[in-house]
Amino acid sequence: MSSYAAILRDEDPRIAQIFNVEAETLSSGSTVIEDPFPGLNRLREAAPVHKGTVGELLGYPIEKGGMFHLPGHLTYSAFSFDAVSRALIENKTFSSEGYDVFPSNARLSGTILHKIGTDHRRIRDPIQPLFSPDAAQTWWNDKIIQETVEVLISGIEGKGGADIFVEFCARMPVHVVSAGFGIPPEEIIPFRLALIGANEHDASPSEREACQERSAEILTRVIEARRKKPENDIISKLVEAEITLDDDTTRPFTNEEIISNCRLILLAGGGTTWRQLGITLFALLNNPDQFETLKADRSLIPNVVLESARWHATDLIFPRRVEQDVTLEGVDIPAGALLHMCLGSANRDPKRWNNPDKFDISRPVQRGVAFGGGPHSCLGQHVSRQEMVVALNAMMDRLPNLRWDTSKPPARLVGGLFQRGPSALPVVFG
Amino acid sequence: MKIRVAPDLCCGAQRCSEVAGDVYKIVDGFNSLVGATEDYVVPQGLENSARRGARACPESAIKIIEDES
Repeated sequence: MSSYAAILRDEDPRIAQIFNVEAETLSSGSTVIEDPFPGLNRLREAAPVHKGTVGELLGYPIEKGGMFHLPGHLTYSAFSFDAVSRALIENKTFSSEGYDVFPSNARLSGTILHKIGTDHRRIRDPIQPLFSPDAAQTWWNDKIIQETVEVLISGIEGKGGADIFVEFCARMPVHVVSAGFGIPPEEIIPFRLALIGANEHDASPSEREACQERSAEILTRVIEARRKKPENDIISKLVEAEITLDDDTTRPFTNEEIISNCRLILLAGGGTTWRQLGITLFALLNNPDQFETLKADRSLIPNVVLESARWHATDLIFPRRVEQDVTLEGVDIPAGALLHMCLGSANRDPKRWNNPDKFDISRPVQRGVAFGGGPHSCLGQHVSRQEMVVALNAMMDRLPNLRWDTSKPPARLVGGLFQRGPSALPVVFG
Repeated sequence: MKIRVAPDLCCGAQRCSEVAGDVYKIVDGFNSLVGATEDYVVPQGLENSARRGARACPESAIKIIEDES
């Protein structure tokens, strides 16, 4: 048993505190909202693009600002599939540098998230192969995903019941991505706390700065160790990677580049997959007939993961900044305005999907925008999808007759317009 | 050598055309071979370019079918 597996066997009270969708929403400065989809559907039916932020247009109180909301800044919102897809693909017109205007995102400045064009490619190209479909299904799967899922499911299967959102979904992705990168096992949770603390809406600047320094310390130690002696992990691969410059010469990543991009990837990797897996299980538990269909035909699992992401992606909006006057689906948007791309609404556009509000695993798969698209298409999506595939297989193998624990309060999907997921997943099995 | 592009994987990242514009073209934001009913035959001499474009795809949407020898 690896030292990573050993630490996963212990219960850890910090997990339930860190991984709580409602608390996370409040700490990001957003308001907790229930089902936003009826409102999103109304807006998309009225027009593909509206003036205003998604939150304002839905009529939600955004007294604390909210994610990607910049009071006083002219903002438009795209709701149709075509409008969102175009904004994702035309990254020079609808620029990712727009992230820089949000104080909450300033700490991720300099990463692949914020860059466009050549600057973006230069950094992303050497990282991309480490997250390819093949890497996800072999290196990530064999090195860490299988072991992580095995340890977690072994701890649950004899209990007869559990909140699998906290006991499984929360623990798996943060462990997988941290172990994959080479964060020492005992540092996984302290590192997570530092990442979250640096983005805590209500923390003081000095508290946030202390968290930022803490995550840099942990990463610097790993980077320096791998520069001396490489291991079989992502940080070793980043240390060895080469960036190609304009004159075709190459140079290694600086420590600062590795640190900032590791923070971004580990923050996202440990934060999105647990909620999305939770949403997938929520949908399956609420549709037992479809769950049975899946059990009878495991080849449907990858489709189920994509259908869950289409039906309800954990992150419903992402921002861009409009760099030149542009007409998007008939709406004129001036240069300098911000654009909210509403992925959640685009993925339920009836022009693209029949009966789009229905979670339906028999639906023919076609490209959605749950993982974005264009140059910034989610880097970690294949690793995330592999984690979910292995997790769902293990649950069907080891938690027979998995169903809601009706003695507990019913689970709800909660969160803001960003970072949505179940309130809990109380289940019984056997 | 032939090329096949999986229509449901192409996400419009356009990396193929950026690194291998002599083989790959973009139409309406996506690889022009999306939706093609037949595999595209790579012109002789452009095999390396075709491979380079396939490797650059973040979705691994481009499949290279090598000639049998």
